[in-house]
Amino acid sequence: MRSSSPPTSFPAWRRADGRKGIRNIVVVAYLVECAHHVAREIVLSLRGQPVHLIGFGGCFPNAYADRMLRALCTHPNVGGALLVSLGCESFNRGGLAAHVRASGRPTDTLVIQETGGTRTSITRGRDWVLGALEQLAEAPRVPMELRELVVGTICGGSDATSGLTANPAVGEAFDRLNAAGATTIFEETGELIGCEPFLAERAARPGLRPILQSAVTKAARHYASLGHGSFAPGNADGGLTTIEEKSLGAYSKSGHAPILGLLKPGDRPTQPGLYLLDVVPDGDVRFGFANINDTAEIGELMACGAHLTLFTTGRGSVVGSAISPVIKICANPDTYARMPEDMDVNAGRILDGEATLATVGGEIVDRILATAKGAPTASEQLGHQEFVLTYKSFDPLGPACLP
Amino acid sequence: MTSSIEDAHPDVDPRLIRLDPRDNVLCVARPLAAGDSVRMAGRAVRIGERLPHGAKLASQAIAAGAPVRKYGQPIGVATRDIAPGELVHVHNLRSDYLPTYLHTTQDDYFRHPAAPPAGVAPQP
Repeated sequence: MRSSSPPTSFPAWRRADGRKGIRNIVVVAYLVECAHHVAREIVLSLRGQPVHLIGFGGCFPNAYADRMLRALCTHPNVGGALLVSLGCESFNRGGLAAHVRASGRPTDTLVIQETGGTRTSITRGRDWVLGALEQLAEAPRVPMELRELVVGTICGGSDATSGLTANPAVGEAFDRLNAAGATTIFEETGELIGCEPFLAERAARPGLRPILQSAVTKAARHYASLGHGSFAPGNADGGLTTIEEKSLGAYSKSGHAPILGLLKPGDRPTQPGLYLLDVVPDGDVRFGFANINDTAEIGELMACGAHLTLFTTGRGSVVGSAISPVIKICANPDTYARMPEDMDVNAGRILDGEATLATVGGEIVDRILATAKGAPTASEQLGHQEFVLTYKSFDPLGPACLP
Repeated sequence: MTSSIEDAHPDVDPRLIRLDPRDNVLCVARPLAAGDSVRMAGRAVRIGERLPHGAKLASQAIAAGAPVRKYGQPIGVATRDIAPGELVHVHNLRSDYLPTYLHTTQDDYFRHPAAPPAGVAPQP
């Protein structure tokens, strides 16, 4: 890091499992849609406190959803978890509770059918969360270094400026983070269609090359069988014409570092460096679209341990996230002028000639440090805590995927 | 894939960006109005319509069926002849991978339901 940069160390919360978090929150997780209302009422009754709502709506079992909730309830930013079950759904609540308990985090399971129904469950849940918040306030603070951070990136509401300003500026920030020894993750293999050759060239080991290539081939096949790419009409309204064009712009978020490994949702990086997260399910299309929206992908980055997410947007996405702060980097100067309160970084200045990719890349790293130190991001300030989790199926990682 | 805005091209109008020397499109850095004249490949070209940030325009004649290149890579195929200075978008460029879905794709289906477009379930 250059001498002008702020100190790269900040106080973090140390969990009993040794992981360090930049936020100290309690999650309330519903384990079926039928328990969603009770869980939401508990969270809403504690507005302003660090309590976030996550959950899975399905009544039928799904190994991916199970793995996701295990990873998210034990995320380093999470200090405790209340599980809210209706009682008759398939979700393995005992397994999830045991997993959270084993991580040393306080946890409790509320079974609505055994707790006297809606009203009593909300009261009991609220009381438990208040107790957990008191406990969390005592959680030990320890110094954390920039190199210990895991940073994810995603683009959403892309337009023709995304690939010119915000995405390459994030690539610049990723290069600096990787140089500082941090861990970085990019994703959305459906938006790497057309980039397979460059991706394969960047594999850190020859054995990883075909794995990266086939992750994108799989995405192309997945979207072809659905007849619809990872491309919304708003992308075209914003001047993007084809998925190849969108992909080449999105790809620049990954910067220039060698790609160390391939992750699937819930896998954690094994050493610092750059990883590709494969978000497209394995096998035939079974449950529909790989990602029904951007929020689904942010959840998967968090399940891989991302402490925060860099979100580039041209059209003007407003989403944040439960659990991990989202830093919004606006690609389009007109969009920034229209909705500045929702944005953290104005990368559109690059088009006006007022900034370079390097200066905006540096600003992004500064924002990451400020956020890690506790400064709320724009979406945090506005109360955004989006979360979604759907059905998916993945095969386990092969042996050559990780270093 | 190392191209960026900072690789300014001396022959290109400062309101436009050439991302890679292999490209046959330029990107709009500062919006252009209909009637504006821009310099490309050493000559002046008149702009026919308003072009917002990021819009693509042809830097040379592109024949129907030829690849359109941006970031030095093909981003699809021209569906008709494109003249220098002309806007390049969904009306004259298509993907080699997946059709680009527009809101009008769905409108067309509800008018002519015989051939459902991608992502639209046939009505019972």
